[in-house]
Amino acid sequence: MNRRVDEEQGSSISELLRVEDHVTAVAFSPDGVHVAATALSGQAVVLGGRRLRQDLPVHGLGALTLAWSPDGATVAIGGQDGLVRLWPVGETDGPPPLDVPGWATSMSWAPDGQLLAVAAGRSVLLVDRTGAVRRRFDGHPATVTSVTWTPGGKRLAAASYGGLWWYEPGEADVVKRFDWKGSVLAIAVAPTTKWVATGNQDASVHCWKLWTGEDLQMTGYPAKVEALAWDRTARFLAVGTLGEVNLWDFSGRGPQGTKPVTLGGHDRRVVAVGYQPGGSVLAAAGADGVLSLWHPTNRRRLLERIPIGEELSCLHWHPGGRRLVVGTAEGGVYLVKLGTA
Amino acid sequence: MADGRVPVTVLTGFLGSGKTTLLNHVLRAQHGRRIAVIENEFGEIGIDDALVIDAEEEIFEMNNGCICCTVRGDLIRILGNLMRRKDRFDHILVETTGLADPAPVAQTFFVDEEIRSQLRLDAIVTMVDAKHVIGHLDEVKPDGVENEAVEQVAFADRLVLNKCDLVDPRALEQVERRLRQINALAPIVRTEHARVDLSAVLDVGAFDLARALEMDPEFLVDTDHQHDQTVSSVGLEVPGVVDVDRVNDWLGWLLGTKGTDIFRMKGVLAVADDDRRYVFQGVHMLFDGQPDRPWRADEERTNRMVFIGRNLERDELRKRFVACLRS
Repeated sequence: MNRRVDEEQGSSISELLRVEDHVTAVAFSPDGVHVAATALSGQAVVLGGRRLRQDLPVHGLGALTLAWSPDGATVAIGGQDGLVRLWPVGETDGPPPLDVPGWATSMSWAPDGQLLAVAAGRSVLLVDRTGAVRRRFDGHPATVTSVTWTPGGKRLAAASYGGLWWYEPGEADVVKRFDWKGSVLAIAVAPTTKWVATGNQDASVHCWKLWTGEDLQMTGYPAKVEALAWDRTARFLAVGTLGEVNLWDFSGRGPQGTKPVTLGGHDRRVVAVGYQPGGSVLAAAGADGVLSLWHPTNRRRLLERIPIGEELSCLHWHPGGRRLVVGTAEGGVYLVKLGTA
Repeated sequence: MADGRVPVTVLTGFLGSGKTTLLNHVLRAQHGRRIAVIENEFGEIGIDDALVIDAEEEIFEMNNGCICCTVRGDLIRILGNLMRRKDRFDHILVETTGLADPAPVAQTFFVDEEIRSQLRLDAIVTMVDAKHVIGHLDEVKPDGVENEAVEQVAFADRLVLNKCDLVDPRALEQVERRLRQINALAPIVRTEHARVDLSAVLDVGAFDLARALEMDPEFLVDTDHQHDQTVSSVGLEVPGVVDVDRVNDWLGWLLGTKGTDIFRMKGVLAVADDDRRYVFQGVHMLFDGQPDRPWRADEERTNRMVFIGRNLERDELRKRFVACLRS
């Protein structure tokens, strides 16, 4: 399959790239010019325009995570081999890789582009653009599974077994902790910085109010929760689970005691969810090979159901909000251009 | 129906018992099978074409620390990534540290949905050093601290008695008797230099309900020790058929009050008004049971089960079970 048009819906799908194993991450650069993808084959590839294809050095046992610098000039790649590379896009050579203490599982650039947070083993590193480690935070009881900056870049959240650890670039120690007895897998900070939500190993979602720490929990999911996303107004929290997406409404008195809106239509696990930049369309990628697009403010309105044909593993929106890139468990990377619907 | 899930063998045993030697032996002796090894101790695995991944033990308690929800977080991550890879493995071996409690390792395969759907726990294999094991088993621990050697023996589906060449036959008999007292279910395989037949440790199917009850009747013979603080095996055989409601109540009682103390259990029940055997097994509070093949015409309807654990009172277990019989 190279290019096809879904006549009913008007969206087009084209294969951008094929790698040799499960795609672990895909992302457009913030300027929308490039796409990067990482895979369990260890491959890390940058694509741009019609011509550029850059194959970065292979990470043993798999490339797990990638993060674009806000200016789109550098892509950071982390692997199971305990190496992190900061690669200047378009250059034939990059600086020597950085040795980190364990698998690099998650990375996040501060919004000002000066510091890259890296979760590696039980530590969090703050790395500058030259690849020098500026700070190292140890003391997490288990592997740090996820790191993410608050939208303003003031604080960094790190998830591990036992809750969330908050750091500030200017502070040598943890500045705040949200304790919770369980293993946290994924973090989503609301764009308004009013809430932080986590997806957890014990099949729950936990939310804390920033910064009072007042919390609430949604339990009873059929499996561990790893797919979370806030819409840009932070009214809705989307949670991907088996066969469906749950939407929790944080308006008014919040979701406490309410039932979520259910967006169904998938046969298997929803592995990734993401809101359209600048819009309100929600994209959900399913292990059933379907990408579904929803208009959640318009109660459960399914916009499109786009069959990709391969088990999906990740998704990312183009900053313009009219295109998506999805990765698959079979090594496919596809560009989806939205129709006019 | 064939179970397409990839089998996982958990290898436990004290430092120096010969786990790494066994791993090397298995990797060398396997023919054409792709094996991945997850090791918690830096052993000297000397095989190039096996995938070896180092792991650091991370014990996670879920759901307010209920013992059955204690799992290994590192294994969830490593196995999850392993199963996403295209090059599938025929078998996975997990080596634990000498001091590891086997329960969280075993429970990981039942509690995490993603793991459970793709992998099946094949067996817990415990390596035992014939020369030193009695000393390890006898070691007195402070109150509230488990003797890890006892736990590892108690959890085993296979006991590999290694270094038999270093011990005289009488002492070997003594060691076996002691192991039996703790774990009456696991077959004991005697070896030297960890050279075992692969079939003794791979594809054992110990958690396969259909095969779980290939119990040797001698296991049901009572052992003579009375001191019930220690870990022991209790086997029960109760002829007759049980009432399904009463046996459900009994199970509720058993898991609710004894779940922490019972490390492993396996059994086969004769349920009234059902012509099929009901087979079950459990690890702490995690219980798995289902109807099995029909009883044969010449077979006596009887209930047989073995419990391995701590503070087990045979009389209490028997009395409560007998109350489930339909007269």
